[in-house]
Amino acid sequence: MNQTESRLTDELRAEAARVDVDVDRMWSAVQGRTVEPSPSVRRPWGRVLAPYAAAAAVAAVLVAVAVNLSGNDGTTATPGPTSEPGTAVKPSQPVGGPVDGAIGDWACPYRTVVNPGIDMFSGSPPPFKPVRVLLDPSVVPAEALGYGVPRYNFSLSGAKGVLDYGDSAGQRISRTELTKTAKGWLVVRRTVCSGQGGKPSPDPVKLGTYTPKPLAFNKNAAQVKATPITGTPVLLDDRSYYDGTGMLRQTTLYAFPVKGGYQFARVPAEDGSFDSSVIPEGRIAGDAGVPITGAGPEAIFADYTLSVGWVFSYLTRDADVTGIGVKHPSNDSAGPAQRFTFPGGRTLYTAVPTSRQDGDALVTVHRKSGDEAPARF
Amino acid sequence: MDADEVLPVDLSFEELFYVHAVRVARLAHLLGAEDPEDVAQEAFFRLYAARRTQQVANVVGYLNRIVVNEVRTRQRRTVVSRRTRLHLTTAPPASEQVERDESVSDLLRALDELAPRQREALVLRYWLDLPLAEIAAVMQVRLGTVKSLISRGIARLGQELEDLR
Repeated sequence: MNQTESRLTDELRAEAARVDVDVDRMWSAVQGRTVEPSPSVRRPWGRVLAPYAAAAAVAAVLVAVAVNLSGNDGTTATPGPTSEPGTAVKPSQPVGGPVDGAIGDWACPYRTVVNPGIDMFSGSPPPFKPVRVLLDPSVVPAEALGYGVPRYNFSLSGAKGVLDYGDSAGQRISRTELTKTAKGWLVVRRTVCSGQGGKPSPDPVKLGTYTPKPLAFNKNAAQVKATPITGTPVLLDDRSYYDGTGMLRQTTLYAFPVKGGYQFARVPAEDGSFDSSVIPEGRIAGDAGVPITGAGPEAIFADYTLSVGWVFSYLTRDADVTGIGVKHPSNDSAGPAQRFTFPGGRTLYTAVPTSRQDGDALVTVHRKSGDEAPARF
Repeated sequence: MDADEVLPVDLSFEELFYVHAVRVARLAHLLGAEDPEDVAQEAFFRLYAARRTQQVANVVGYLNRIVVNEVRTRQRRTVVSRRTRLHLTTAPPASEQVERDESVSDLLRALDELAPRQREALVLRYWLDLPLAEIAAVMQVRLGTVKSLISRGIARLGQELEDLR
C-alpha cells in the first residue's frame, strides 16, 4: 500500500466516524414505510408507469386485439412478426394490473437468456448472489406488479413450471423456467425479449425520431416546476428499450429554456430525481437517461441500472462556435450531432456518444477560430 | 440448482437494521450523498421489500449495491457539471479556499472531484475493504474495470495532492 492509499484509508475512516447517524429517527422513518399495506411494494413504479397506463387505456379503445392462444413455446431467436423498437412501440400495460391468463407466441424476434444471479446487461454477478427466488403461483408475482406487466401465466407440471409474461395483446415477452423444491417454486432462468443481437436496444444511441412518436413534453414534471420554462422546449432524443421483464419502453429527452440558461426534462418524468440548478451558456453539460428498469426489489434477475447513454450539450450565442462533437479514444468513432435554435439569439448544440462507457467520450467545442481542447467525460 | 442453497435468514428486519444502519449511512456519505440517512432509509426499505419476495442471502452486499445505485441515481443529474468543473476550471481564488470547511482534508476534496465510479471503487476498496470481485459485483462492472478505476483513482489522488503542495 503506497502513501496515498494509506492516507486514503485513514482519512476515509476518520471522515466516516465524523458522521453522526440518528439511527432511531431512521428506524422510525423506515417503519413508516414498511408498515404500509402491500401496495407499498409498487410505490416506486406507480409514478413512472402512469403515462404508459394512460396510453394503454387509449390503445385499448382504439385497437382490437386478437389474442394468440397457440401456445408455441419456442425460445430460439428466430425472425418473425415483431414489436421491435424502430418499427412500433406499443404501450402495453393495462390499467387494472396484471391479468392471469393464457399467453401466446413470442412478441419479439430477438431474445436473451439470463440466469438468476447474473446482471442482464453487464453479465456480472450481483453482490447478493446467490439469490434463490421462490415464487408462489397462487399470487400475482410482485415483479409483474412492480413493472406493470399486462399479463402473466403460471403453468406447472410435476417438478417443472413456467411463468410467462405477456404484453397487452397476449403475446409472450418473457418466459421464466421454474423447478419445484421443498421450499417452493424456484426460478431457474429466464428468456426475455431484447434488441437485435441480444442487446437491450438495437441502436441505443440513434439520435432523433426513433420511435413512432416521441412522448410529449410534460409541463407538470418536477424538473420543469423546479426550473420554470421561459420558451419552447426542443426535442433532443427519443429511444426505446426493453426492460428486464421484456416490456418495451420509451424515453424522450427535451431541453427547455429557463432564466439564465436551460434544463433537461425526460419523459416519462423522473420526479424522484431532479436538479434545480440552471445550466448556463458556455458549459458542456448533458443528460444520461436512466430508464425505468429493475432498480427495485421487484427485479428477480438483478438489481441493475441501465443507462441509455449520454446526450452532451452546449448553449451559446457566440457566433464563433460552430458546434460540438464527441469522439471516442477507444475506437475513434464519432457520435451524431444536432443544433437547435434557442430564444435570445442562442443556439443549443448537442452530440451523442456512440460509447456508453464512462470516461470514453472526448467532447470538443468547434470554433471557426480553432477547436477548443477536448474535455473527457 | 438446489433449494438447499437458500441461506436461512436468522435476523429479524429490525435486527438487521440496527446492525447495519450506521455503516450504510456512512457509506452513502462517503459516496457523496447529500442526505446519507435518506439514502440509508431507501436501502432498508428496498431490503424489506426484497425479503418479502425472495431470499437475500448476502444482506451486506445487497445493501451496498442499493446504496451505490441510489447515490448514483441521485447524483446523475449533476454529474456532468461536476465533471465539467473537473476538466475546465482552475483552482479557486485563495479567498474562497479559506472559506471552505477546514475540517475537510485536501485528500477528501480531491476524492470529491473524482469521477463517480472512481470514487465508488476507492470507497468500497479502502473504507469497506471489499475484495475486487465483490466491488465489481456491487458496481456492476468487470473485474478489470475495477482494477483500472482503483489504479487511476489512486494515481489521480496522488497527482491532486502533489499539485496542492
